[in-house]
Amino acid sequence: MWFPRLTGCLMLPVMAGDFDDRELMSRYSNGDAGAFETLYARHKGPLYRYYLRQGCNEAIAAELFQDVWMKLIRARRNYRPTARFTTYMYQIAHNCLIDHYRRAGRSVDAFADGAIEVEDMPGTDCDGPERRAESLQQGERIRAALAALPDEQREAFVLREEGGLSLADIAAATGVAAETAKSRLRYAVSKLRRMLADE
Amino acid sequence: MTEDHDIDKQDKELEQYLDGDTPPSRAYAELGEEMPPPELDARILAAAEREVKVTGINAQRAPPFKAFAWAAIVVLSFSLVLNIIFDESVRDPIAELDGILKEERPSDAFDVILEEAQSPAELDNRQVKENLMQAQQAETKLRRDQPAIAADQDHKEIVVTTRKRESSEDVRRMREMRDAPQERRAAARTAPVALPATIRQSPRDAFAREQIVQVLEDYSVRLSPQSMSAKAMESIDDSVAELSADSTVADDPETEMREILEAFRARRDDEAFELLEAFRETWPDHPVATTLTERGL
Repeated sequence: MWFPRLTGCLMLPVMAGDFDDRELMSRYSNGDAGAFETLYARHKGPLYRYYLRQGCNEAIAAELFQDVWMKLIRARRNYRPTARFTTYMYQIAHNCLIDHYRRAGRSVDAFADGAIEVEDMPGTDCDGPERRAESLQQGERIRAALAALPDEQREAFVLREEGGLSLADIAAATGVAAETAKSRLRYAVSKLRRMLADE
Repeated sequence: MTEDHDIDKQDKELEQYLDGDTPPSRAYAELGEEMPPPELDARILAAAEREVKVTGINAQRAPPFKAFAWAAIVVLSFSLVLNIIFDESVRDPIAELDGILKEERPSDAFDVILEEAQSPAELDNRQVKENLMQAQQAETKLRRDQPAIAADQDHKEIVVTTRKRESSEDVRRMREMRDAPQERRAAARTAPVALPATIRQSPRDAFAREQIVQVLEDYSVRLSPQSMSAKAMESIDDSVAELSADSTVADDPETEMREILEAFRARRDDEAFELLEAFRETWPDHPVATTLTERGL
């Protein structure tokens, strides 16, 4: 832990791209704006798409996206590299999304731990969207398939695809138990396979 | 049964998915890679840079300054503790008393002797050593500063020599006290101690002696035959003849004065002072006695 702090203090001419996310954030905490640029360049696309894949339009995605980065900037002094930066960032992103859902009047009960109902299982409620996706091209079909997924299952899948998060990281980012995250991802994958196979 | 079968199948699909390269992943990859608009990038990066400029400069420079500040605190604290420790040793009562004694040590031989006379039995070896050290230091200083203090050299040499003599006298006295029987020691502690003969050699008494001798000699010169008329000489001779004829007649002041003067000249100061005291008691109105009184001798 002393190395990134030391290099951050002395501003040694080390390429910021050589550091992992936690080191970059630590350097930014010590005043290295260049480290933040590298960090931003690494994660801006996945985070932006995380919101787009949740069904948000571009304006809302941009707003939430900006909120996340502003919170990261403000929290830089208190940042402690105890977990993966990606997990930390998507935890903030998840909270921003929940806040957005609340503001929009959407129910967020499904995001609660263990709130997976029988009707969310493949082959029940999702038949309508699946059928609508049949006539679309591959891209549009997966987009439609994602939209057909329950929010929490879709989020688990997007976190895996965009952030490369493990099951434990997904659980940490969404604030649920590891088994719950596993169930959500399992159902999401199964539904998507079935919808894509029904093509 | 069907549900269990489904769950097993889903677990297998999940494992395959986590291993990578499954239809959902391939399909998701075809969605493309949308990016945030450039103006949003610029806004966020500007905010990040602004945040660093506002608070980051201090944060960036804080660690080295903190290190220096801590180092300074440690050094100052250490020196403060050392200072306190040494102060405590100075504030020790015994050490303080020693300091006072050193400061108030008599500056000339007369006072040293008086102190010794007041409490001879109280002196210890340490004080003797200190006297010796002080005398040596004074002598060293005298030698070093000799050209600058040539005018005062004689007096200081007297003081140094006197102190050395007194120090050796102290050692001798301490040895005697140590070796003496218990009764003698007790007697030495209680008996009044006479002033040493060296008191007469102090600068003050030497000066008084010289003054007294001068007064006596002046008076003698006035009585000398060269300064007297023949008539006066005759009367003196008559007087002398009368004195020699009648031995029962008391000595006249001039004769006694001559004896005092002779005693002074012969360096029999003790006798001379005793005779002078008797002379002044016997003839308090004699010109010599009044002159000495006027001069405060």
